[in-house]
Amino acid sequence: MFDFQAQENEDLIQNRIALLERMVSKFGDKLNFENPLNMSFDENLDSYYPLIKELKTFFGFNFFLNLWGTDTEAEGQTCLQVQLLNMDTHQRLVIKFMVPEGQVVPSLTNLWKGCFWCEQETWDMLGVEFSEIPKERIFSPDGMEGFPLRKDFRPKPFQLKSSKYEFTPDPRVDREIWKQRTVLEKDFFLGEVNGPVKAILECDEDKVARGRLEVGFLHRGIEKIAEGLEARQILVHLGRINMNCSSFYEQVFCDGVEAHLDIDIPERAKALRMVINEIERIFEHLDTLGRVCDNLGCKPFLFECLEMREGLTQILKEYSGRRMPHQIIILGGVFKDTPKGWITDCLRVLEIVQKKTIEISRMISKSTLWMDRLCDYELDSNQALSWGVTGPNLRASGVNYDLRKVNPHYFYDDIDFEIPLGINGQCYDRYLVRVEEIFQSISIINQLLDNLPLGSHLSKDARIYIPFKEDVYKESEALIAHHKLIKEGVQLPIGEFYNSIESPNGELGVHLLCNNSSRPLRFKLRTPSYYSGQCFSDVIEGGEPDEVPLVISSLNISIGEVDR
Amino acid sequence: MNNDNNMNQDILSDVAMVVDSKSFLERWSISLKRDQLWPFPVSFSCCSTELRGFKGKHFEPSILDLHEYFREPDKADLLVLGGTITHKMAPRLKEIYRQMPEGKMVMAIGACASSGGPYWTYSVVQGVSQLFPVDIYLPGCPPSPEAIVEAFSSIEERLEKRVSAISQINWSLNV
Repeated sequence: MFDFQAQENEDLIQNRIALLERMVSKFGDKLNFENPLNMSFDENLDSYYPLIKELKTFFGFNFFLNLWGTDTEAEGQTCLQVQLLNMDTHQRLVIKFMVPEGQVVPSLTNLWKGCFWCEQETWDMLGVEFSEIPKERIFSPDGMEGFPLRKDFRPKPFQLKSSKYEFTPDPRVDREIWKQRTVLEKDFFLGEVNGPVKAILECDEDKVARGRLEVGFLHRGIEKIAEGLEARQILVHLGRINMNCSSFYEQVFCDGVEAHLDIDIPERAKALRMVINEIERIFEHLDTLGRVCDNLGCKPFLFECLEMREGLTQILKEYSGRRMPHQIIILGGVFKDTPKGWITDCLRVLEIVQKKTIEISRMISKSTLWMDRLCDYELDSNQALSWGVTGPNLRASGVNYDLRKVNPHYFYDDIDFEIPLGINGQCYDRYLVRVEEIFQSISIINQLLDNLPLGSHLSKDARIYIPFKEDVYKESEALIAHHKLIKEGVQLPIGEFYNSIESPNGELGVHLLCNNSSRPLRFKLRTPSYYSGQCFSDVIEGGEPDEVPLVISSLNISIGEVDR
Repeated sequence: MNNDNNMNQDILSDVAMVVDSKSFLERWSISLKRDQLWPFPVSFSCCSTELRGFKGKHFEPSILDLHEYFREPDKADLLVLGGTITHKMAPRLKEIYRQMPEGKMVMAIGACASSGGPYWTYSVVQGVSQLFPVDIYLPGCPPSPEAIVEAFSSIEERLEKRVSAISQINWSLNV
């Protein structure tokens, strides 16, 4: 029999080698073969825009992942990093540029629309100026002095300024027609959507001509806080960014640190992490489904979803003893083995969830009211790729990209599951994809729990493992290890790493720059909602102002993720 | 136990009247008769997830089931805050507080709303008490639904005793 999978993998590897050979012949010694592939330029900024355009057009790096800056030790110099992805070969690339103070960097918004918030945030946090990007605060409070992520930043008391966003003239219509449009401001602070957000809409009679989201109402400065904390303390903050899928944030960080320290965790821990993650995936999708029902006025289904969620919360509580940020995943594995009888309980609850979800989807999927309201607000694949949207929103537009398949970690390679795809990228497709993903997740959990590996649940590596208190009193080695880990924290060797995972909303990545101490120099998150929040302005075009919460909840824009 | 059940049913029937009755006078008379809470939950980040779970069937009769009907702050008398409060958010909260009628009460759910929580940064207000007086502080990150139920019952106690944060401090209302 011909093995398609093996052939595909071979093709992939050959394509990747061909791409790298082409890049080496072109760029030579500027490339740095680390993980991720690095490319650093110390020259002036003249080659910045042409180089990235060349990479996009000739080398297939067509997907924009992230853009961020780091304050360096050199006076007034900022290291600007752009991360790109080649979707054919799944090759990632980081391009580094040094930006002197006062120099204007050309904007990348012509190539990818999704850079807009990234560049605005870089000005807000570090004071790097971009052409064509308004110098407005996006996250930090307006009226504050200084740039928070610079190392010399000291917070001072300030007077809050209230600034109002004004639309620039629309180039698509006449100026006279544009002047007749009205501007609506709608704020959603009362739990209609996941977090506080304000929508600014430019309305042409009853329809929305242009719209954008104003964010920053939940900006807590986690990236700044993390610079003063050690790995275990960062974990506590990560779990609280998006409470519905906290385990993904914990896992992406733990996995990255473990890979950086070259620690292999036990197989049982891997499997349990996967189980917890998939439960959280169902949790987040049920939350989205409930919100969509809520915004459409289907209250009974909302209560059904909330009840199913409560069942899953009880399961996680049974495991960890805590309700909401359960924090099961820690450095080196999971903090506790499964309690007695937990697996049976979990399977029982999942069966109920499956039955009820089938019931709900049977009732509403084909109903005319549901289809009438949801078959709208299209996001086609080109737009989605340009905005940097990932996850179910991208898959609903018909692009088959899931990190669990293209870059499988742990046991995703051995497990039999499918990736549901949509066609039109409408709200209805997004709903269908999410419902199907619930079933796939249940099937993954069933397969995992049937073949749960035996063994330890925690790695006993001395660099991360805190010994038990009983051993500390008896053995001197355990005492030393305990003292060092509690007092100084996990030592992170010099270097940087990027790790990513498929979270329920899309690609979730963490970038850490370490300097031989327990505290990181720079901590950067790539959160999926950050990009689906930007694409809102494309999706809402031509829609009705009353349906903004429906669109936000169908894209599942979690403001906690956006603002951090 | 039987007594309690009867009480609950009593509350529920009254609540149903409040929701169904259209005329303002009728609602007003009911709210005078028994100190009915009309909460107005403003939910932000994580603690709002717990508030949302609270709406489910597990904690009946839940007062927050009603909150769909009180989306306007000028009809509510209890402001329920859950989540981190940022400097950008503060003016909007003050506005909501000003819109609420006399005799208002405030409940801060979770560590962030009470004191700023673990976020001691440039953008976070270190507790709601910097904006207006607070009646109930509810610790926890996030507090469990049982704790939220308990907080509501202690708010009812304060109502019975006619105590509120404003009357104690003699707060000037030019916020």
